Amino acid sequence: MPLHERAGGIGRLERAGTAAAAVAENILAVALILAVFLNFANVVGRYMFATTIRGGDEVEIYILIWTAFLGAVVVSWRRQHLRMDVLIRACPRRLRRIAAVAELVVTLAVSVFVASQSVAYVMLIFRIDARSDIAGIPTWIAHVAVTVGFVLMAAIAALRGSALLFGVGGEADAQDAAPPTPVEQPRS
Amino acid sequence: MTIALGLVPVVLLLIGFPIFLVLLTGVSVALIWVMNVPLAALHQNLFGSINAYALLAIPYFIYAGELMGRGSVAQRLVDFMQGFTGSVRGGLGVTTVGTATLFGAISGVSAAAVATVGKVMYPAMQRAGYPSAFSAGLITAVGAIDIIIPPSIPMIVYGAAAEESVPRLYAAGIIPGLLIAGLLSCYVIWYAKRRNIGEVESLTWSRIWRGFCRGAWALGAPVIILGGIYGGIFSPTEAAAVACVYAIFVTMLVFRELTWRDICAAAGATAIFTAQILIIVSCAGLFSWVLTVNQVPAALVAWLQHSELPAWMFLLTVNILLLFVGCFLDPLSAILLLTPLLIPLVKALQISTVHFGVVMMVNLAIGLFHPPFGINIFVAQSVLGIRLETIYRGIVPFVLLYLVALALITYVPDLSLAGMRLFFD
Repeated sequence: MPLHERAGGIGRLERAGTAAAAVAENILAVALILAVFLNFANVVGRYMFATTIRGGDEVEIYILIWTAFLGAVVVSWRRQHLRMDVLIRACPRRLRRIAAVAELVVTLAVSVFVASQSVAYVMLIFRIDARSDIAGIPTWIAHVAVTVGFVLMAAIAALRGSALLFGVGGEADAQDAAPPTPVEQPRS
Repeated sequence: MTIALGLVPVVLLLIGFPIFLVLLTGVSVALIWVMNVPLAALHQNLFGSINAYALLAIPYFIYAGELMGRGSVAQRLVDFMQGFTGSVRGGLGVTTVGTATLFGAISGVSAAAVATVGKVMYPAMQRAGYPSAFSAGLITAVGAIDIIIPPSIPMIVYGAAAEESVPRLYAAGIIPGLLIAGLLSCYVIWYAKRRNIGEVESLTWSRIWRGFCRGAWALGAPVIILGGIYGGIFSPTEAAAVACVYAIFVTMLVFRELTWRDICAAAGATAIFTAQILIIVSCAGLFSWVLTVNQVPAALVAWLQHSELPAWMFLLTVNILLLFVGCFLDPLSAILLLTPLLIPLVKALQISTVHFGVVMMVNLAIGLFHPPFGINIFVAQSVLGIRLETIYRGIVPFVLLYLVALALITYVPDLSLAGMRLFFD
């Protein structure tokens, strides 16, 4: 049984996480459409009115950066990260489970490390009030996407790790934790 | 350092860790235990690698393709192609190749072409008497052209990793893409004539005109993208954004097939796909910086100069490496992992980075449908409902054709560079 169908604290957290991922996806979708029309408006403005929206490019790049790091959180939640999983999928279930646990531990450790370095950097540029060149937007708004992304990825790894360690899922969760099938992988 | 940047990433890659985590773990180990640099560089490089206007073209091109693929665009492109190819024996197979190539000039996402074109063409080819294995092999193979023909998402990623101009790469991809399409078409015609498959219809202006009228709106997207970029009207990013607005206009207001809900759903799917790519771009940028700071590329160049490896031998070695890697790794990850290591060697041997980019694309395109793990094989299996064995049997001649094209493209650089010179010299 997948974790989100279970009763109890972990199950509730899983359901909340799934809902939050859907909300994040919708926010990113609206932001992407906004970025597209902002770019289009700049093209039209340049050719028809000899003017562009001040700082439009900067807003688009900020949206791209948030898409990368907040989107990566959604991708982590749905276990859709790109990976070379040919070998591990051919391994016995026990070995897959060990690899899945190792992945969660490494994700947690690396994410905490990156988030701690990132938060220090964001605090610095927040204090000096660094701003973008054209629109004058505070740059911490874009930089904090890195922090948020890795903090949430660490939280996901901690949640999944605790579910595995405290035996909430057993064998079924090892399968949940296994990499996705090839068709679920993104398509280049 | 060898452990941090060599052993750790390779081991984690082999046990199936996400690519971004493979890179980030190697860098973290190097930064904590080996290197003596300010740790602020970690955040600066993660952020700086994707803080680039040119990378906006990735989500925009994906979005334009996602929108165009959700309606009847594939069927309209088929109608357009059929107007020309219906008079040739094997015309339906040639239509499949032509439609996938045209779709590639809109989308740049290979699996989308396999799914979209396959759904329309596989039943039609079955009805016309083409064997299942042949049809499945053709449909699985033609999608790979999409990462060579502009606008190609992997080319944007290569451009960022190799610091090469995307419009120059796009221009260089046109002739190789058409060469592969031509080779596939010739084989399809030869196959159909030998087995007497399909019916031949007379070529008339009215058929061509009807096909053109059906496909005109769909054909507008590649005209805007390529015409805009090479007419000097738009940058690639702007061309992609204009193509998105055009796709919204056509699918919502002209074809009346998509609603705002569909437009948002396509945007959501695009955002998530973009995140899958960009988190690796970000970590690969950081990994590349660590390699450079530790003079790994310089050491590789020194080794290459010491070994006196000629350019043709280097290209042969790289082709074998990329074909092998492409069988297990998706093109974007392969580009981001290998480009920082290979580009210094390419430059040292005075090989054009544009030509090398196209060679890399063709290699990784083959990996997309090469048995046993090419992703397009699984897409075709899932969308067309065909057994894997059938696809494997059908794919072999097409792998061989791509290898012939790869040899030509690798050792005749003018095939790539002529397109670039046409637009930029």
